[in-house]
Parts: sequence; C-alpha cells; structure tokens
Amino acid sequence: MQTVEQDIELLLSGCLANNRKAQEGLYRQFYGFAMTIALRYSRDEHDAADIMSHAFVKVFKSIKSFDPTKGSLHAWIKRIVVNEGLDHIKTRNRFSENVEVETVAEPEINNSALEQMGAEEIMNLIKKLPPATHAVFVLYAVEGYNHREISEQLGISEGTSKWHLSEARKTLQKQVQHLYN
Amino acid sequence: MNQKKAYEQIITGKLEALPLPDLADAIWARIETQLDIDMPEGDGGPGSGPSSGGGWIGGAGLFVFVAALITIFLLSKNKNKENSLVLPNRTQQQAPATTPVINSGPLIDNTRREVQTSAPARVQPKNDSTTSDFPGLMPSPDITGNNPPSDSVQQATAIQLPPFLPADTVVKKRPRGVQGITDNDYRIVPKKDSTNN
Repeated sequence: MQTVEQDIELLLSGCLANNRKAQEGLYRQFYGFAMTIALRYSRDEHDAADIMSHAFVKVFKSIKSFDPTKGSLHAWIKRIVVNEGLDHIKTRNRFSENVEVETVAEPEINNSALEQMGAEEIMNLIKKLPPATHAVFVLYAVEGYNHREISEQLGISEGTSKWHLSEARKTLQKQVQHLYN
Repeated sequence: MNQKKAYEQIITGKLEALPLPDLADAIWARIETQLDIDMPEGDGGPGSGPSSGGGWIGGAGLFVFVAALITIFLLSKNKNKENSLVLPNRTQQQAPATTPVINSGPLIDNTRREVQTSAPARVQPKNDSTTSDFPGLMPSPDITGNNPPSDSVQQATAIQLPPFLPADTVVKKRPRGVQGITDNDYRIVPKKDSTNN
C-alpha cells in the first residue's frame, strides 16, 4: 500500500514537470477508478471515453493546483471526472427550472429484484432516464450528494433537484417491477 | 452527503463492479495528442525549460554580460568622440609647418614643443589664467585659413565645431577636455625645456 502511495508521489512529481511518461503512468493508475465514474454519466463507452479524455487533460493541465493538504488525489480526480460528466450531460440536455417539488416521493423499489440484477442491467436502466434526471439520480443515489450540493453543481434549485430524484425513483420502480413481475 | 437507502446502496455496489471497457490505450492516445498541442513536453516542468531556475539564471547572466558589453562600447565611443573633438583645437595651435597629430599621446608632446617654441613668453607668466594654458582653443584666423586640408577627418570635425568661439565660451568648455591632462602638464614642460636650453 505504501509502495503504491510512493509510486503515486513519484508520478505526481513527474506530472508537475510535464513528463509524458509520468502522466501516462498516473492515467493508467487511475484508469479503472475514473472510468467507473465516467460510465455513470454516459450513455455508452464512447461518451465515457470523451469524459475520460477531457477530464485527464484537465487533470494534467491543472495538476499544479492540487493541494494534498486539502484532500486526496483520488477525491480531486473524482471531482474533475464528475464535473466533466455533468458538463457532458449538459451538452445533451438543458436542466429545466420549471418543475419543482417540496418533498421527494419514495416509491418502494424491490431490493431483492435489484440484488438479482447485474451491474450492466442496472446501468442500462439508469441510462434510460432523461439526462437531467439521470445526472441528479447518480449524484444523489450513487455519489451521495444532498440536494443543496446538487443544486449548486447543476445550477438548479433544490426543488428541481428533488423533482428529478422523484422522477428517477418512479421510473426505476416501474422498470424493475416490469422486469421481475 | 445524504443518507443512502437500501436500494441506493445496492445500486452503488453494483455500479462499482461494472466491467470496464478496454479503451485505456485509445483514450491515452487522445489525451497525449491533446497534451502535445496544449502543453508540449518539457515546456512546463522545473528544470526543463526557460522558465526553470537554471534557465532564469543563465538568461539573467547573459543579459548582464550583453549590457556590460554595450556599456563598455558606448563609454569607449564617447571617449573617442571627446578626443576627436579636442584634437582640431590642439592642432590649430600648432605651427602651419607641423603635421596635424591625431593621436592624443603625441599631441601632448607636440603641444609642449609648440608652446616652447612658438609662444614661451605668453605661457610662462600666466600660471593662473585658464585661457593662457590652452592658447589653441582661441582659434586664430591665420591657422584656420592657411592650413592645407591635410587630414579630411580632422577637417570634418573642425567644421562641426563652432569655428570662432569667444574666450568666455572656451573657458566654459574647458572641463570637457581630455581627462588626466591638468594645467601642470602645460606648465612644467616649458620650464624643463627652458632649463635645458
């Protein structure tokens, strides 16, 4: 574990010197971690590849602004990939401001049915959501952000964020029920 | 951060296990291409480019060296200019028969001889007077008019100077003469020569 951290330290200093080999090493070290995040915000692999390439170019361009005292390199890279994923979704869909709710509907989703589903099946269900709803659901249910944070990230109100989450839960419930009933 | 529900935890767990597409090389090729355009290798790192510490020191050293060379060149040029400005006046005090002297070293000797031969009586009694020490600075019509154009450079320089300066003006310009030559240089020599004679 310590060796991995030392390797990352070395790669980081190489990246600061704009060394291409070090940049490639850091990219490959974080490929799995970052690609997992990118896939959540994309419709297919090509979208994910776009998000990844843009995100890592930003990582290397702004590597000097990374401050280890403020957080880990994983968290820093994750934030860049998430932002890039959201930007990608924004290009496809404008986040509507004309729908707001005060409380989020909490439909029952069959957990046992979800347990039986494979990762790709679940991801396919999420991808079928409208882009804005997709983004809010991933940010809330997977990344763990609250509505205030999501509203700041997406530039929407908290009520709109709650509405998108409600819509996502309803849609997923219907689809899971349809698949397993 | 929010409190995740059971189904959300299941979804998160499943998504973590999502199989990764084998696109690492293709994505890196795109990243590398973009980096080569935006930030070519060796362009931003410490010790690798002109912005590095060593590069700055080298650049500053080179700048200082060039600045010093320019300063020395300008100083020497100014010095030569001053010499050339004084020369015609010195030659004017020479007798018409003597050849004009360009070099400042021999000029002093010639001046000494000239002072000794042509006007010893004028130089000796006036020790304090500034104008008497530089009789050549008072241009005489005979010298300027009778001298043949033996040296074109000297003539050109003499043309640039005001041909007939009043004595007051000459006294004001005296500090602009060649440095290192004091009044004593002119006072002592005639005495020596006169004792030798």
